[in-house]
Amino acid sequence: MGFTNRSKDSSEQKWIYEVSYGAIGTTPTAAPEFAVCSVPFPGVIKKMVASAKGVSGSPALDMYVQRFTTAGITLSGGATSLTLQAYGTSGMQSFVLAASGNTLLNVLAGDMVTFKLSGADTAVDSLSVGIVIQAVQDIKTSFGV
Amino acid sequence: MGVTNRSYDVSEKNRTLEVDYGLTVTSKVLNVAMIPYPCTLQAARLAAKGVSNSPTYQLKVDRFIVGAGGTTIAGGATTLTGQAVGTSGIQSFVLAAAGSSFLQLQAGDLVTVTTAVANTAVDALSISLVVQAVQDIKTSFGV
Repeated sequence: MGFTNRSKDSSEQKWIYEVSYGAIGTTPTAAPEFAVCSVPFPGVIKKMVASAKGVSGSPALDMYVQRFTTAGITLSGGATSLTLQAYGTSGMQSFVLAASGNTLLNVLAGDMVTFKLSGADTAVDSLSVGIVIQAVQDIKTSFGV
Repeated sequence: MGVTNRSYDVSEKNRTLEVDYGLTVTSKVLNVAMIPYPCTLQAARLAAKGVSNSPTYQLKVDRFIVGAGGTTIAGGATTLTGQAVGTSGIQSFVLAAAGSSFLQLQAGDLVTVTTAVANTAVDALSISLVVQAVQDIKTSFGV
């Protein structure tokens, strides 16, 4: 039986994207950028977290939403910079997002969420970044299909 | 109207968490996945290409508890010797028996894999976990 004429619970509308990296650092590229996800449907960023192991120095992560239009790429941030600490010290860390309702947290299909790693001569041995996006609608297309 | 008084089928409760790495060498601890909600580890798979010698992989769970700090829990799966996908296909970690508390994961846990054996490497490595949420209605990373 399909879920006709029924809405999903708020918790069921959330999608989680996770990505993990091996060793990354700010040498020789000063502020390397990494992809977290391509957004398949309109949604709202509800949470962004990171876990790091083997932290060298005090690397910082800055989150960006990249949006391509015919005018080119626009870049926006919806979170404050996160200084990474080892998982054994702080556990999983949360980005401090803009206040609920802020338009910086609204993402569109085709947006790309990325982060930049910064801090001179810093690195991590292994890093996981996760993002929770709540879809605007239950019934939706994903990447246009 | 919410999906009230209905449960997901067991298969619908499962979620696959997958990570892919490029060149991976020995004696590394690699993050596999952060666990968003309480769940049970149902399966763990590995696929490797460009295997040099016989690297081994051990799954572990890092758990951080405020006040107590971090602990690393091993024992949820036996150590797996990586073989090329062209030789063995996708390989399965042998998990602890169903019901073992080693397989119970909590929100905020970090699943890792530790590589070992000197002078070994793989060109490309994929690790997948299948976890089954304890509840249909749940928070993800606390939201």
